[in-house]
Amino acid sequence: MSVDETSAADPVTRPVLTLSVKTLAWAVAGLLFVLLRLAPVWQAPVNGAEIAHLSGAWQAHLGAADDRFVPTLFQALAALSLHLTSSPVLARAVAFAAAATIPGALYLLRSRLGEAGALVALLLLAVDAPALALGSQASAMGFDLPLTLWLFVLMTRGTRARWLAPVAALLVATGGPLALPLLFGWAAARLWERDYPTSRTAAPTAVAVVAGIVVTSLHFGLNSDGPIVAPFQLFATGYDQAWFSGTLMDAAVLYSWPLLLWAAVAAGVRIARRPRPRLDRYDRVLAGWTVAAAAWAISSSQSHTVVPLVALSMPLALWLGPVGANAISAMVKADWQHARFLVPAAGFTVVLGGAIASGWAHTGHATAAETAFLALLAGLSLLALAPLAIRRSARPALIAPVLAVAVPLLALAAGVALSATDEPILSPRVAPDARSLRDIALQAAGDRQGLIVVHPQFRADITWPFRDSGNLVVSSRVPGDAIVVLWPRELIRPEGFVALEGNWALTREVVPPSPGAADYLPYLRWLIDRHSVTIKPSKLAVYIRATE
Amino acid sequence: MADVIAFWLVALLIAALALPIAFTLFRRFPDAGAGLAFPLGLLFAGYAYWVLRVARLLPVGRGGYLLAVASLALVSVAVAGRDRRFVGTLRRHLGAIVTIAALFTACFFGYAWFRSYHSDISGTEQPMDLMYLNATMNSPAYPPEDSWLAGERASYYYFGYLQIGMLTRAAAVPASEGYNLGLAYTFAAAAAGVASLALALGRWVGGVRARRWVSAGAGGVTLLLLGVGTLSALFEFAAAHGHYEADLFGLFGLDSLSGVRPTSSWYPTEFWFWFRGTRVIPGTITEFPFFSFLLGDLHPHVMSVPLVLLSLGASLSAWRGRVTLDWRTHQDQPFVAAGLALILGGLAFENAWDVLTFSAVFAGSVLLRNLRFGPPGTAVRASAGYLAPLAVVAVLLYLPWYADFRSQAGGLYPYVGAGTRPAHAFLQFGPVLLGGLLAVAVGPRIRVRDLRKVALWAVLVPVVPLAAWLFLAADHGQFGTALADRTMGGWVTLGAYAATTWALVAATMVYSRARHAAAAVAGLAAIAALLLYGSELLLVRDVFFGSVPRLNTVFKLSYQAWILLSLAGGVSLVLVVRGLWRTPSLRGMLVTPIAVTALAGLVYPVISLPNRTDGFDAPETTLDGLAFLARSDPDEYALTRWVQEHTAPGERIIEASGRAWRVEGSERLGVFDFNVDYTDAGRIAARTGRPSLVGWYFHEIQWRGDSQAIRDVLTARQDLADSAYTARTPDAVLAAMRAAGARYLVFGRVEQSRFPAGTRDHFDGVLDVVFSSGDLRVYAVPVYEVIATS
Repeated sequence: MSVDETSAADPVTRPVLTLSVKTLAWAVAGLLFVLLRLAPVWQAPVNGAEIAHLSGAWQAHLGAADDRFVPTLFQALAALSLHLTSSPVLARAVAFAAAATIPGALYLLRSRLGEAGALVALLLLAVDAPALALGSQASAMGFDLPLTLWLFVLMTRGTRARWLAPVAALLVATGGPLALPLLFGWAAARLWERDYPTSRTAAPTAVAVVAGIVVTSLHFGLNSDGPIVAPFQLFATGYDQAWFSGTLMDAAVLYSWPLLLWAAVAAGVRIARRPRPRLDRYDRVLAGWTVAAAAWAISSSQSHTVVPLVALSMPLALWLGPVGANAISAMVKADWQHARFLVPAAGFTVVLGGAIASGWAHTGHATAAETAFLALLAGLSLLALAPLAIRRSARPALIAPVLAVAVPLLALAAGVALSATDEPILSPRVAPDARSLRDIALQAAGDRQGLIVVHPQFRADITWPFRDSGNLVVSSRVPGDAIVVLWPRELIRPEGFVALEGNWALTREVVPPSPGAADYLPYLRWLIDRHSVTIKPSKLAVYIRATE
Repeated sequence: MADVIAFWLVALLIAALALPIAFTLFRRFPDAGAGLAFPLGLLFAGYAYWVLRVARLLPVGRGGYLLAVASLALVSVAVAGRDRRFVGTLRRHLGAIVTIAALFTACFFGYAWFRSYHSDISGTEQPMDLMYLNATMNSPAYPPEDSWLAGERASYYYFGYLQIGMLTRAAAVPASEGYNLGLAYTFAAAAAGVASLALALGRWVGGVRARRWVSAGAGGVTLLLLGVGTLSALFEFAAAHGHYEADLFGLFGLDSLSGVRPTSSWYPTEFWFWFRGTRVIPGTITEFPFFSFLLGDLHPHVMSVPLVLLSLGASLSAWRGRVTLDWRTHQDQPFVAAGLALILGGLAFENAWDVLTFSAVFAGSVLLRNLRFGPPGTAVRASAGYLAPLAVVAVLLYLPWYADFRSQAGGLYPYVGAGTRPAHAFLQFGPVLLGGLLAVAVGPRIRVRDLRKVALWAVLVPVVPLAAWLFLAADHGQFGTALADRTMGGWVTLGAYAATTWALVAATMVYSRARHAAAAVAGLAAIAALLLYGSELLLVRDVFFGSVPRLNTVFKLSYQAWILLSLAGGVSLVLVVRGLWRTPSLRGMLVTPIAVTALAGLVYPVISLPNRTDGFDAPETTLDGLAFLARSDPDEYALTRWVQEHTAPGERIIEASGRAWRVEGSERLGVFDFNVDYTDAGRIAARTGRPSLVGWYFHEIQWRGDSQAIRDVLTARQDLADSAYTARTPDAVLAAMRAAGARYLVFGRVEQSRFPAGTRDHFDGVLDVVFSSGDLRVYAVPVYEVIATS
């Protein structure tokens, strides 16, 4: 933080600290960014990719080989942290600490984005729900967000420190997939410009990449199973594993639509602009990055992951930062003579429509006529804004309604930051009562000197909630010395056992509302009442051997 | 529909990414090589995927395929960055590029629509094709595991399957749909590729003034390659409508059509009548592209058509240049050399039969080019200097494949037999061969004194194979038999082929000396004629040697000849007709029967398409190749889906070997039907890619060689797989599964039909039932594992 010392104007001649508006703005934005990520470190249930990766880290810390341990540097540190505590908080704190450096990266990008542009970009990243969720997780991609942004800073600003490139290469080789689109954009820009690296820079970088691959292939000394390129591995895994209960498309429609809407508007304005601005290296890298990230997101649209959305939100935020700052400036300077009536009128119509629709959303029913009425209101609001589009001087006032979608964006971010238990983006998550179940099972098994038996169906889910529980038996049949049995509900109760009453679960899944043009009510209902989601019923039954 | 569009978009994207590479390799083409960008892009991306998987740097699954596509994008950007004319080339050829994309799109959706009427992946060798497609897509280790011989690597040219798998996975389409869409892609990529070549040849030979004719002619060439069939269809049509004339049909050797039942429909309705069109010449298979796409087997020789056309593009590009090609060329253009090596080496990996023919075409093109710029000795030396490094790199690039591939070629042998009757040769190849002959008239008029200079040299080309045949026959002690067994008809055909070869070679040499582009057209036709001629004399020994010795040789070489003839013949026909249009002459009227013959080849598709699709009348159309199973046997379909969704790729399963068992004396079980090939044996492995112990017995022998050792291995595996079902005690079942290293045992429709009732009675006690639908089951070895959590 820069501090100006002024003393000349002080009548008492005591030194007084004054903060410039810029400094204050940076402080507020940085604080917002950090604070939004702070609560989830303690509060958020273990969720999403974190379940698999913490389970893998747990097994790795025990020295057991496990496919879920993807050997990134963060995973290795997470495994190390589990030697100190069985809580995920320490590993998350490491991810949080790394994420907390992101405002610094944006600060260094001011020269390119502009002061206001960098601030807007930081704010966009701060409130981006998928980035928020991933950024405070102890998943294998814990370092990816800050690493990617710092890489971009390095690529943009350049450096005289020759050691930085190999270090960056090592970190990328031992990191997750989020940096891959940026690397693609950077490589494409350099290849297009025929700017090939010299052997002096390429050789140590290549050695660092190979060293990274060797280290990850050896699982940081924990195991060895042939060559592994961790970013590629996680990139591929994202297509096949369920790191999110819905699809990426669901997540985009639920959480990222404001960002995507702004990006679409900004892209449209840029394409329509004549003459087209010339692209420099920075623009080419950013364009390549955006295209690669967008391609990743599109190809993952039906996959159960939000990671590609995060990969896309980074370059979009960097595009939209300066665009947003310019737009706000233009909006302020617009001719508001008519707009001061028309924009609020359109806003009022939208709010009115929203209020009416929210009533229908609660009942979950709207007739065709009612939907048509809503469409009419939407049409009216557009009609109210139409005169502004005609007058060139008033046209920038149209930015106001476009910016208004920041309101739901903030609401969405708040849900994640406060780790709301029913937040779909935090699903699947470890069930809150899973640890209690573990305690009950341990006590029963300990008291009666028998086994805790888990059906193979729950093999993956059991690791994290039942960590530090001694030996468990994974079996498809109930052995004679079993005392506690965790069994699928659809299978018949084992003979000689009684059911432990309760709605037990190892993980819980929130079914995200699936909005569509014809069925918008579930989404609206969810937006105004975040607890209106459906929780998938548990598949788990718990049986305890009957006492004789 | 979403799957079809996704697949199409991915195919277009990969081709678009390859455009900068195509521009570099085919800049002299009127479309700058846009039509060849489809196989080019897929070749580069497929190779990247394969080599990085073998190096274990890429993960299995969709992500791995997409990373390979990203690597193609980077290569493409690098090439575009180095090419200072890239933007200019793109702007200048944008119209042609869009036209080619439109042609690809029309052919892709058109074929997909046709295929949706008969999408079943069943019968012929389609299960085998599906198995390889699934194996390349699902194998956790690379080179991929043979799903019909668990634990062993595939010993086949599987590059085509890998490439179709790439499109399938990248588009997130199930394999059973990817199979059919892969056929549509191959059809459309072949259309785009041959159109590109036809445009180039036509423009070079006819000049800019012939532009309109050439553009229209490119469509005709595409039709000739992909839409024309044999003339036997005329007779099929006549016979089906009760016009069987014994004398006429006998003259053409089609006496077998006497039994065709008349139909009341306008087209022949006899089941698969069109299949006979590829069995006209006894003891051989004479398939042609239209038939391949009609039948729908996703075989290597079908998938390789676009790559073959790409290699022909490389050959034409090499031939067309203006400076000598020698080893120094590679120093100046190392990336072009790498690209060419990738294309030529890929021929072997995609369909081993193609590599010799089309590498020879490439080598010939280089030699012809160099002969334009120096004396023969220098040209030969320069060509050798240029080709040798390419050959070495082409082999090195695909070395891991060669390590696993066991070629079944057992050497070159003389063909001893009756030979092909002239009528059969005419029926089979008439529509394209006669057009190919026109290549002698496509360039400037050949004068007698020019002909004299080359005539004797040209004679060498048909004489050398003849001499080789006589020598090999003598060497095998069959000299007399070889001469005696060939019938008069066989000799006439041989003579006609020899004369055609000589004429086309002579024309090539005359045009070359005159530095006229027609040399390329005549050269391609000459190679095709040589292939047909050669397959009348020599054969490559393989597993069919004892029964139908020249089956594969004629099959594969005539297929290549068809591709070459349709290209050269189509271009020649268009240019000759154009010449006649401008200056009509009586002599030119000789073209009429040739054109009519080519047009008569269209009867085959016209009457076979409605037959294949039951008159385009289906209650529902689909591109899912397993939809037939869902309709006919929902339980078996559900079982298949369960295995696919609930077992990990690479997880070994046990399914019955396919042999049929029955209770024999004293309650013992014995095999009474050993036949497994071309049946539903190995169907779970084929449909899911999960490796099973053994699949089609004789096909494994075809891929791995016929030796007692391999027969023993296959039989032992059949015994082991079946022992799990014939075991009388629970322990024996478990022992069989442990010996097989399998966790799952399938009891589906095949097992139900191949073993006596009551086979699975004792399974329930010893195995876990993990899936059941109706009376079908999947069993698993019970799990018991202690895991430490602290």
